[in-house]
Amino acid sequence: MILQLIERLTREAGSRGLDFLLIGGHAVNAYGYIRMTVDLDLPARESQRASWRELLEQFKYQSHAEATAFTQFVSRVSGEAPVDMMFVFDETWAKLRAEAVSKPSGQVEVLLPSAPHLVALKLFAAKSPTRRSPGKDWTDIEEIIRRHKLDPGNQKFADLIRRYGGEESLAKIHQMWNTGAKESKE
Amino acid sequence: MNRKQSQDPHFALPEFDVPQRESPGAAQITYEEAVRAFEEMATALKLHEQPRRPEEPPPTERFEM
Repeated sequence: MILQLIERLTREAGSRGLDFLLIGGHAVNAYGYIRMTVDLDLPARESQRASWRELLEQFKYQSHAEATAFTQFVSRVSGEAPVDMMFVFDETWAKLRAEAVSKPSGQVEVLLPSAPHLVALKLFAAKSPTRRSPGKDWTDIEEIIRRHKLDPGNQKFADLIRRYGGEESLAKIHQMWNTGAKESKE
Repeated sequence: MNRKQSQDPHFALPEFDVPQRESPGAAQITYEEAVRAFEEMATALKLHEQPRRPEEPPPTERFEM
């Protein structure tokens, strides 16, 4: 059902000129690390927030929780996946979009953030004071880094990690990277 | 997908043979196959009918780049 929902959303959003990316567990899955996920996490433009609400209401969704930059939607139809919308300003959207990659999902193509940007989003989620299970984010981060060979020794990537996760996260990712490099030699 | 019932009567959740991408000799599975497998599992476990994470509100800050 999630694949069909992604297809319907992609088509309907496209026809209305609404932009979104696929993040969260589905993006991690699409990048090749298969893990369980139930929600659909979609960043979109803050300037299109009202239009997204309208679209999702037409899809029989209703707002469950609201925060400055997030709205969690639940379906009024049993069995439909919850949808979490994350709203960003246009400047951020442009940067995420510029490096986004397209992947097939069912009958449509969806856009995912680049692997380094997905790590940044995961670090942001893990650091959120409301996050109950940052361990899950860190497992995802480790897999993305390993599969995409994202070297924290690269200055640009290190700066990204530092910005969203701080020095502590950079040290942790260096450790992951060094352990992975050692294992691959064995 | 093959399915078998757990032998443990105290934890009688259905078990699923989800193909593992990295199992030695295992065939590679696609994103779509994985999503379908997980959806079948989620439906069987009624995960979509669970209360909606009342304990985890959305983040309070906005993501900016």
